[in-house]
Amino acid sequence: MAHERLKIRYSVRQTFLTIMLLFIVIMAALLNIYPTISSRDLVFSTKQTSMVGQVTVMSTSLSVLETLTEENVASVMELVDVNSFDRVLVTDNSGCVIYDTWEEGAAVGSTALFSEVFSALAGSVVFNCRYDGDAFISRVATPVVASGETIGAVYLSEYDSSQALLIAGIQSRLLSFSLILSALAVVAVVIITTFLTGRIRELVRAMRRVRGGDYDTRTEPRGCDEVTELAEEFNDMTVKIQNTTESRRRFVSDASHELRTPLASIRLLSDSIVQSEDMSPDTAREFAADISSEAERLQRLTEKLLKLSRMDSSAETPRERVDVKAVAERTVHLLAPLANQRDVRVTTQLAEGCFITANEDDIYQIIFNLAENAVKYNVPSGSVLLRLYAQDGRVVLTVEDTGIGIPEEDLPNVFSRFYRVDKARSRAAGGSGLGLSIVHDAVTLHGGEISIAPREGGGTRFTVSFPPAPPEGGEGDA
Amino acid sequence: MLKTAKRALAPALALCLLLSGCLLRSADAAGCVGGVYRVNTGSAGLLVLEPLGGLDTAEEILAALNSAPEQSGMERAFPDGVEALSVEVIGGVRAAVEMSESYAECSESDRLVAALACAMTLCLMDNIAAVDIYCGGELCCEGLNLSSALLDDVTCGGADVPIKLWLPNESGGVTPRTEYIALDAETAAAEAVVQRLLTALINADGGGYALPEDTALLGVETADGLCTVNLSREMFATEPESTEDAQAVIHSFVATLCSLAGVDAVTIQSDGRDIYSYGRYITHWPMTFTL
Repeated sequence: MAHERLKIRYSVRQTFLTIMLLFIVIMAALLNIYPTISSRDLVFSTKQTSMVGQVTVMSTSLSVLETLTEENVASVMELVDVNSFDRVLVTDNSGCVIYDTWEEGAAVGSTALFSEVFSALAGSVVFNCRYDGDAFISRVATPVVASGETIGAVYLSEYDSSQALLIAGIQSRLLSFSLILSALAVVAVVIITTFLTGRIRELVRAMRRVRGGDYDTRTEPRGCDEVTELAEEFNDMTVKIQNTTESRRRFVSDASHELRTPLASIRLLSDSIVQSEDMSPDTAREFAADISSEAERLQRLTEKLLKLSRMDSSAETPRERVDVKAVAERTVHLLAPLANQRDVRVTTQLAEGCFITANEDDIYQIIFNLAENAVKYNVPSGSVLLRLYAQDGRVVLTVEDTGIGIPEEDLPNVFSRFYRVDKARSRAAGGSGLGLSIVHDAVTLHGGEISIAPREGGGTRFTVSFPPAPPEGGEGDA
Repeated sequence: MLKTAKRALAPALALCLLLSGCLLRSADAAGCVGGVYRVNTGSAGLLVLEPLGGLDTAEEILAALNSAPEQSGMERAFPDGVEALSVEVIGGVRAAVEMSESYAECSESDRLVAALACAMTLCLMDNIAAVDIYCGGELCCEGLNLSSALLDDVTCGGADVPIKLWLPNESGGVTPRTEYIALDAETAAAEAVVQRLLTALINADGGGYALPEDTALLGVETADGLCTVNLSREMFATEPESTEDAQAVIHSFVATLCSLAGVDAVTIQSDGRDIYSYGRYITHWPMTFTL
């Protein structure tokens, strides 16, 4: 049943590119944000330590005074370093400015409504620092305490653009670096994904050509990754498909030829009977016998083709524990009339306890075909020997004859369908060229192995081996 | 310094009288206020301006000061229970505010913050240059104006600061007007104020005499309370015809600069030399101004 093909909505390249871009953006953001924040925090911490320390020194210096006036504060402040800061401001306990380094003390007399100053007058040491991109702006204030009473406050401010410039420079370089790196990463991802998906698309195109019947299609495996392995597997699979298709084509061709031959004979004979007005009864009877013989041959051929077809489809057949000795003995008994007719002596050496898991009919077919061939292609007063034994953990059956033998050059082909060593003799003996193919396929289907070799002194030996059946209740097995 | 101050006393007194008279004529020229000063609950300056419109009289301003702020991050500048009860404008340029009795019970810093917020808010009105705070009929704070407090530290970032410009009017006197100038760490306050004043004088924003367009500010120096303003000679390209107009121009500089913190007296020069007369007005330096 045909299925609806899925449409590609997200290509591998797009998905990979999207994920990589997201990853790059996140990493770039972290790379740009975290170092800046860390640097800024370090500056904050350093400035707090430094400025609180210095404002404390000033406050301590002023705390020796009982009250703060413009004159006494100015004289004390001359002894401390006020030039490191943009503004140093001292107020009395009401917030009124009594000392100011900004604009030569223009604000003296005004009330410093700075939140830091009022917090200091309330007894707290306050430090604030903010970074506005251009500078670190720091403010600190501390109370001036004399004899346990707050008599004023000291306030410092600093506008530091050099540190800000340094951090801005670092930030700028990090941004440039991350942009360049991101661009390179994107380019690399595009190239890699293009290369990857290109090879996949090439494989897809090759698959479509094979699907269309071009079995000569091959891909060139590039690289050494999973896609390379996929390409190699595709090539192997295509070779196998090609061989199988070719083999089936030949089989169909051979089968058609084999079927056509008896059909042509039947037609010729029946036409002769029909068209001859004065044919004698004996002649007609002879023709009818020939027709019957050809029909039988056609029937046998059809049965064998059906059997081969079943094996090709690997259809499951019921399997059971089979006593190979019993099957062999039955087979020999059935072949006795043919053997007597051909003056061929059939002997057996069958060991007990040789059990295999198989379809009994298939095993009968194997033994019958091999034994029948051994009788058919034997010489008068010849012999056939069937041996059954266990060896190296397998059940082994050999069928050897003293017959006409098979030439060396034909040995590799004897299991091919419709292959005959001597067509004339084979047809005369009623052969279709399928018997050994059936034997080979049946042996393979049951996990066995088959081999053929010339027998010393003339004739042929077939050797078939199977894996033994599992032991059953302690009974003897191979 | 003291001798020069005394020498300038007479012209200063004359200036005050003149200003009083002028201001009486211009008392109805009161302007609307930009907002009300509130206590900032954030980390910036202690007082912050809450922009409010429609405050045209001192009574409306008091009502706004007594009410809670509309914006978040701010509080009333008056402690709980404290209210400004009434306001009286005296002489057109000075306001007297009566606070409730609970004002006297507050801490010194709370009283200071409340007084400064009230005074600076009222001084945003064009015609009010100073505020006195009373409680129970007793004077608590005298002469609070826009220069009485530093709202924030300009070295930590620029800010728009309200100032009082005294501008010549049509009647030959000077009229106060509130304006905002941008101050930062790079700009001296006095220089920024004079530059703005000069622009207003050239444009005759007060309605009075206009200085010549090419008049430029060559420099402003402040030392020991004396502010020296050096103007270019283009100032004399044209001179006012009347003595009143000439006086008004000079008094405009003096009154504006003396309202700044740290400036007690003013000298005006042209090309680095003290000017001894302007139009028909004979000058004596340094000149001072007090309300």
